[in-house]
Amino acid sequence: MSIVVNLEGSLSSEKVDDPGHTTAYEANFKLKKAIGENIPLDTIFTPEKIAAGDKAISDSRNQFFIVATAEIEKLLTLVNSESIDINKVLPEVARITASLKGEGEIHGFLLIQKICSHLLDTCQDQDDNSATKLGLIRDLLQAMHFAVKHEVKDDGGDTGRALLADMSHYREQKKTKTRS
Amino acid sequence: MPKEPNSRKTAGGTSLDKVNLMVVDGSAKSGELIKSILVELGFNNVFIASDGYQGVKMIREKHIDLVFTDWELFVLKKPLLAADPAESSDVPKADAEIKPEIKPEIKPLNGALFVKRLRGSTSSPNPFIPVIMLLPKVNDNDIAEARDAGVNEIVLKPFCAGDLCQKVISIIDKPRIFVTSGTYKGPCRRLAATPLPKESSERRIREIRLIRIDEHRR
Repeated sequence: MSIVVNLEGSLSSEKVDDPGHTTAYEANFKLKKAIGENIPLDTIFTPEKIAAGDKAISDSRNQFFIVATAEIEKLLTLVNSESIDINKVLPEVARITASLKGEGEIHGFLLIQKICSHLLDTCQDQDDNSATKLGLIRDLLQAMHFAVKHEVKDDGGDTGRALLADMSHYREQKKTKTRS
Repeated sequence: MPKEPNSRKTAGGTSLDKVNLMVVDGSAKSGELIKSILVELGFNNVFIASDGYQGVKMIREKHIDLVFTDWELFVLKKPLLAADPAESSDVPKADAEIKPEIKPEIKPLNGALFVKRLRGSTSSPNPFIPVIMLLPKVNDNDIAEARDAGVNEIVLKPFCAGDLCQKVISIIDKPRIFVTSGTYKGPCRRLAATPLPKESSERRIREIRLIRIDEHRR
């Protein structure tokens, strides 16, 4: 075992032939220096700052359903319009769904997370049948509308779980119909 | 809406003004939310990247000191970094000014792959950069995948501000050595301080080179 300490800071790019060879590096991060090497770590984040951070989360949570309902209704109008090119609408559906999913995850809104996952998977499916895809997206957006309008914050209980099971089964059925 | 701070000083006189943070999140809203939490915690310089490609570019351009990345980075228009054929044996170059190669294929990229490329690609702007991954509580496989990609810490969603603070402090207070081997590049994954039996030697690491790496400064 050899120990080499190189204080110059530049790494050599030696090639190592032995695949079992492991090298360890001690990286001197600026993070600690910038914060202050001798500062007690428990003083960096004061209780007031942590409370302010938590308030940002709770403010976002309080606004979530209002904003989400408006956005889903906008998407429903979009996908239900008469002459619609699904491939032009998909990016917008994916963008808003991704946004709601991310925020839903931070707040722990499980049913909303799951519906958004289904929606995103549908958007990304390589299914060429636009009618099938459009039908699925409409159904999923309706489910999403239900969840946000009723401010479902968890998995929706038995109803929510049954809804998710139905969605998975429905998607598989529609895919099978498309293939046949 | 929180007011924009001029300079946030802690009780001990430290400032977080010099620290550059990056949040990589495909969801615009959650990226903004995480940024607002970090700003409330005292970090003034928080940048948001919407995908891995943008994240890599930002690390280089903004001299990022700490990355928060989401597990899912599904908004990807360009490939992240070239897949290096010699990835497993190349020593990462922290200071190299190498532009990412653009390949025509586009593939879905999750956060774990972004981190893996950051750690292992020869064109990575800083393979040693500390990374905290934000992961929804789904299954243990995702957690293992995140760990094996080379993240420093994991925060499970839903989280509170205190969870983020705890992980930042952990990175500062308990820095782990960075390990490169044939199959893994990243912070040492062994967290348990299991003592070796008497009269045995550390066989897992064939060679320990303690090389201090001073990151390039602005």
